[in-house]
Amino acid sequence: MKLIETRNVAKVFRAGSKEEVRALRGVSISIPQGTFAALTGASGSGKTTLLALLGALDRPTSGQVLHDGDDLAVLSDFELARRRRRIGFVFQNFSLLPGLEVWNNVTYPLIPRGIPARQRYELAAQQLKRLGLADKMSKRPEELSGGEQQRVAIARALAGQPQALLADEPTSNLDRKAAGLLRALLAEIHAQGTTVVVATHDAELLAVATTVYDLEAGRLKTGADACGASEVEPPPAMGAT
Amino acid sequence: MRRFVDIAYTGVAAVLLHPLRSGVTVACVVAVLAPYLAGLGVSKGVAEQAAESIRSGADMYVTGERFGRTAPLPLERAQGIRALDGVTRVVPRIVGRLTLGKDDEEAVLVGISPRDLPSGLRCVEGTLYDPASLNDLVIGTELARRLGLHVGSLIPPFYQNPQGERVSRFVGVFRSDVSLWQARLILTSFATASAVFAERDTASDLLVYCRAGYEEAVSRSILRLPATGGVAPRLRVATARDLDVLLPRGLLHREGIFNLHFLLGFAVSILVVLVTSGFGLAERRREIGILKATGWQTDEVLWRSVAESVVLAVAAAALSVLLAFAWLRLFNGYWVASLFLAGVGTVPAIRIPARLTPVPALVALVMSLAVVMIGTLYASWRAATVPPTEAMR
Repeated sequence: MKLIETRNVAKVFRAGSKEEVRALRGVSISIPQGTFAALTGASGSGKTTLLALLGALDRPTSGQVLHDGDDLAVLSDFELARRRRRIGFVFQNFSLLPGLEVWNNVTYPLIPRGIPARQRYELAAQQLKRLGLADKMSKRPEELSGGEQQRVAIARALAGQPQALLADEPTSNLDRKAAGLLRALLAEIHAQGTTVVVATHDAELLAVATTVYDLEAGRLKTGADACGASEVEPPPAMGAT
Repeated sequence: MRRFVDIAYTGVAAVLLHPLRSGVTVACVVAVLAPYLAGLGVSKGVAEQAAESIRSGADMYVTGERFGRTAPLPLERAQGIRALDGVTRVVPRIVGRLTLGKDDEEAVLVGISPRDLPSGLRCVEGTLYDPASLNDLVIGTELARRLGLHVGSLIPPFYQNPQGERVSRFVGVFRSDVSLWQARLILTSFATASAVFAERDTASDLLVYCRAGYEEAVSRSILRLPATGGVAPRLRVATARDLDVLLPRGLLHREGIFNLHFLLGFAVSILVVLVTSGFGLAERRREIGILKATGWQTDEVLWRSVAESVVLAVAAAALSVLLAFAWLRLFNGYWVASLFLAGVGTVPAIRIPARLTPVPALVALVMSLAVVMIGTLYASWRAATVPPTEAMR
C-alpha cells in the first residue's frame, strides 16, 4: 500500500522574480508502507525540498502529493496538521527548542494531542532510553553534542509513534562513529515496521535503504524504474546494532 | 479541556523561556502605563481634595467685580448680606499673594478670624494667632521648612505701606500636607492682612453661610442688593454647587489633555511592541515553524500565544500599578504632578494628593492586554499561517 506518493511534483521558489529557483521539476515517486527509501543527489538537487513536500511541511507549486491516497493540496490547514502528526520529521539542523529540557522537547508535539503529562513524560523517557539518552533527560539541547541532539530529534519524531520517519541528512553533522550508530538505529526503526525516508548523500546510509531515488537538478535521474526508484538489495547487516 | 490547559501552560512557560523578549515587551507597556496611572492618581487625588474643600467651606463666596475683574469689597456690603432672609453668617476674608525670603517663595496670605478657620486645622507647633494682635502669623510646615522659619521667628518687613514697615512674628506652624490648598498658606488676623495689603475696610471676599435650602434664594437676593456709595463694585456670587461643577471641570480639562497625550503614547506603544515583536520575530517564527512541523494546529499555536500574552499583559499592568504607586508615594508625583497642578514644579515642594482607584488599574490591564495581544498575536498568526518550512527558514 502506498503511504506517500508524488505525481509530477514541481516546486518553484520566488516564482516570477529574477531569483526564481526551480527546486523540483515534475518528480513522481511512490513510497509504500514499510519502505526504507533514500533520496540522494548532489547539493541543490532538490532532496530537502522533496522531503519537505513528503512530510507535508510545504505545498508544491504544481503536481500532487498524496498521503494514503489523499491529495494534500485539497486538505485544509487543520487536516494538514493532523497528517503531520502521522509523520516524524528529523531536520538537518535538528530544530530543537532551545532552553527546553530534552524530555520537554520530546514531549512538545504530544501536548496538543491531549496526552496526560505523566504519560507524555513516560513516552519521552522510553524513547530517550531506547536512544541511549536516559541520563540526558534534564539537559538542554545546547548542552548536548551534535550526535546527542540528533538522537533527541529522532526521539521527538518517534514519540508520537508515526507511520513514517523522515530524516534530512541525518548523518551529515555527525562524526564517523555517531553516524554509524545512527545508520544502525534507522535500520532498527525500519525493521520494527516504520517507513523510513532519508535525504542523504551518505553512501553507507544509501546501502541500508531498500529504495533509492537519485535526483539531479530537481529531476529524477534516468535509468530508474517507472517511479524513478532504483531497487537495492538490503545489506546483510541491516537491523543490526 | 486538559489539552487547552497544557497548551496554555506552554505559553506561560514561553515567558520564562525567552526572558529578553518578555522583558522588552513588559518594559514597553510599563513605560506607557505607569505615567498614565500616576497621572490619573494625581488627578483623582486633587479632585477629591477639591470636593472636600468645597464641602467644608462656605455655602457661597461673594466677591466684588469692577470692569469685569475681581475687586475688593467694602466691608459694609457684609451688613446688607447679613440682613437677608436665610443667611446665618457672613465672614469677611482677605486672600492675597505675596513673596517671601531671598528666593521669593510664593505664598498666599489669608486674613480671617481664627474662629472661622476650618475645624480640622490644628497647629503642630505653637498656637493660632490672637485676633486682637497685629503681625502674628501662622505658617504651614512645608513653607516653614522652605523658608527656615519656626515658632518665634521674626521676619523682616516683607511689606511697606503708609503705616510704615513692620516686623512680623510666627506664632504657630500647622500641618500643610493635610490639604493641597493649605500648602502655601500663611494665616493671620483680618486686621493684619488689611495692614499688609494696605486695604482698609475692604475684604477680598465674603464667605456666606445659609440655612439649608436657602442657597438659591440668597444668591439671587445678593445679586439684587443695591450698591452703596458711588464707586462700589458689583457683586459676584459663586455658590458651593457652582464650584462643585467648575473645579472638576477644570481638572477634567487637564485630564482630557493628559488622556489625549496618553492615547498618542498608546498608539506609539503598539508600534513599539510590534517592533519588539520583530525584535524576537525570527526566534518566534522559527519556534512556531517547529511546532507546526511537529503537528501543532494554527489555533493551538495562537492559543499558546494568547496565554503568553495574558501573562505578559498582567505582569506589565501589575508592575505599572506598583510603579505608579511608588511614583506617587515615594517620589511624590515627580514631574507628573506638574501636569495637573499649576505652579507645582517638576519636584513638588508640597505633598501631592493622589489616589489610585481600581478603575484606572482595570483600564491599565485592558490596555496592556490590547497592546501585548496586538504585538504578539499578529506576529504569531503570520508565522503560523505559512508553511512550516517557510517559518523555519
